Amino acid sequence: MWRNLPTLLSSAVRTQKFPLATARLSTDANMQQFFDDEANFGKAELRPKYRPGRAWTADELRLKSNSDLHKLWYVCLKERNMLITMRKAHVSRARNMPNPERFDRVQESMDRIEEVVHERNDAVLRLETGESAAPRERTITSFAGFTYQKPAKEHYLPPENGQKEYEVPYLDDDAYMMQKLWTEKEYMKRRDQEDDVKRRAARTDDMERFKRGAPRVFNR
Amino acid sequence: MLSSRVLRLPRKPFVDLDYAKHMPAAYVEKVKRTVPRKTFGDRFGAPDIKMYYVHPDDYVPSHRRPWEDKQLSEHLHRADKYFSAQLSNKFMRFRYPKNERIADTEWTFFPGDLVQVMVGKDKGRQGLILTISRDTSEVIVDGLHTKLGEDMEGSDKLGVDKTLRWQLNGAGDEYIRVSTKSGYEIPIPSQAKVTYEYLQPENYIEVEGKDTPADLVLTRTYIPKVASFEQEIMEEIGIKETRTPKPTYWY
Amino acid sequence: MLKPFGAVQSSFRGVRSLNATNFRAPWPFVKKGAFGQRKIGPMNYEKFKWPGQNREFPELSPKFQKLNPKELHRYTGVQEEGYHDELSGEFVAVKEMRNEIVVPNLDGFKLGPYVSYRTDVQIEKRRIAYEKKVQEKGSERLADLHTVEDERWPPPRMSANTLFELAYGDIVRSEYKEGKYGKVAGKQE
Repeated sequence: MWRNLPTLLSSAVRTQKFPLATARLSTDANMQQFFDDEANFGKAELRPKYRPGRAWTADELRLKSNSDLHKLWYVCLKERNMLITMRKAHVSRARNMPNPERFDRVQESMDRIEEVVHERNDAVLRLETGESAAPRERTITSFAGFTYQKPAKEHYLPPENGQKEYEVPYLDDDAYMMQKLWTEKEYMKRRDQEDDVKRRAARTDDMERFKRGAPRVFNR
Repeated sequence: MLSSRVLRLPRKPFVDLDYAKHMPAAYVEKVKRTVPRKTFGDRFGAPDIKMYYVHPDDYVPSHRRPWEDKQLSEHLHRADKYFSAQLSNKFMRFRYPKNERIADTEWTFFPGDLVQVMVGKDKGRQGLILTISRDTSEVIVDGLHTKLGEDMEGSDKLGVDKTLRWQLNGAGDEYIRVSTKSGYEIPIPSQAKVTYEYLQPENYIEVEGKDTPADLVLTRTYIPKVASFEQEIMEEIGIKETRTPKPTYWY
Repeated sequence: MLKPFGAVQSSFRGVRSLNATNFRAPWPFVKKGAFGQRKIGPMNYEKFKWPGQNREFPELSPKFQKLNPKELHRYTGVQEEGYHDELSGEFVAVKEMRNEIVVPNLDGFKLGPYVSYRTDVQIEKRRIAYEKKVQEKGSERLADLHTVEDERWPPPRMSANTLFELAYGDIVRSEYKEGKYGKVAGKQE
């Protein structure tokens, strides 16, 4: 119930205006970059006129130079900072922030900038050194017998005896038994799941209705 | 030479007509609450264990948008119930809603269409479609407060099924909507292009200082160079690096 | 109406049952280990109140336990700017370990954090024009030769092959023709 409170409050006091910015802030242009447009303060939803557009797509970012991408990253960072400030201000007054999907739009843009930068760095590195720009990974086998990818760490010295983990082709007794039991358990889980799916598909509305049994009446 | 790829012919422009087309997927998942509350990872190669706010099998879609106040508080309520069931070690039965979503390429109704009731006691009543809900395959029609019931079973004989279908146009590069009975094309109404953000993309009102105009977005400034991103930025800003890193070992 | 404990229930039909349930003790007996169907009295399992995986108590998180590896003891989630010297017992700051954030000058930078939806209209125009070109020429390769880079949509990804072609392609080709990489096959001298 208490979780619903902000939502309820926001619908109750939606029409009220509240003074969020002081006069001093509104005059200073540099200071204003930390805040949203004053027209958006205390709104439950932004008016279409003030609703910003979509995120950058990777295709569009591929047109932009590295320096532009670098600057755009900081533009997005500033926007995200502003949004966090506004959310804090709204939450402290028990309101919901208007249009919180702006966070995700900015996040999407930033993710795609990273993607494009990685793509370019990867091309250069693959051409010049033959290695990928992705973080290095190692294939190792854990004590439990699972073989998986793990991010490698950087060290100043070469590995000492037993320090470096390897992929193991043949498992020892414990790991082998662990894997055997694990696969068995997974198999049984999957089998039960499939059973459940079939049982659910076979269920009819009547079975749902009479699940608890009809009321038993003894008139004799 | 630089070469491009990805061509989709013939095009099906109707498949991505949606009111929520531009809503970020991550945001929609978040308001549906079908995201992990906590992920137990780093399990020596065994798959992660995920604890959800609302388990995806428990999420029941509605004709309301998931970010609307009422719908959102419903999701929060369900998440609370799920969590308290976990705390008190109670068994909670998931709802496992049946997937009623019709394939994007099969769906033929769009907002702004004039539709008519074909069977039942309301037969003959007409109205404009206000909204469609793809997840539940529901259509909300202006001025009609009716519900489809058991009548639908024999509807094939009445000619209700497959009133419309998608067919290639004359040029063969695009699918158009065609009436099965008459064979006439029924164009998609302009109202179908309305999304949460705009009525028509051409008439979108740009927010000054936030939105990048089209010509700026589509100008090309990238010139490929054999230098990494960091090297280019260092060169541009004037950072000089004389130190050379010693070799390190990765393991 | 309440019946006193211990009172023998008499039947309406005048048949007196000697069933044990009719001779109940005046106080509740709690049988040890009586669970399930035969449970007596409300049972409070204290075990359920213990913090565990579902209960989200950070005290039990492996991050705060004594048996943890040493590196985690002072872990703050922030990259360290130096190391703790065990010989002198002091913290040694290392310049190379410090994060330096390179922030560009954003004056006069016109791109914003969001993109106007009018861009979609332009993009759609470009895409259709490019698709037409491809149909006209027969293949993407030929179409690429006959269109300006800016008029293609989607713009190509950068890859090592492309970069090689742009940076070294012409040089390698001319040097190959000159015969710098050995004799050119099929060419007679």
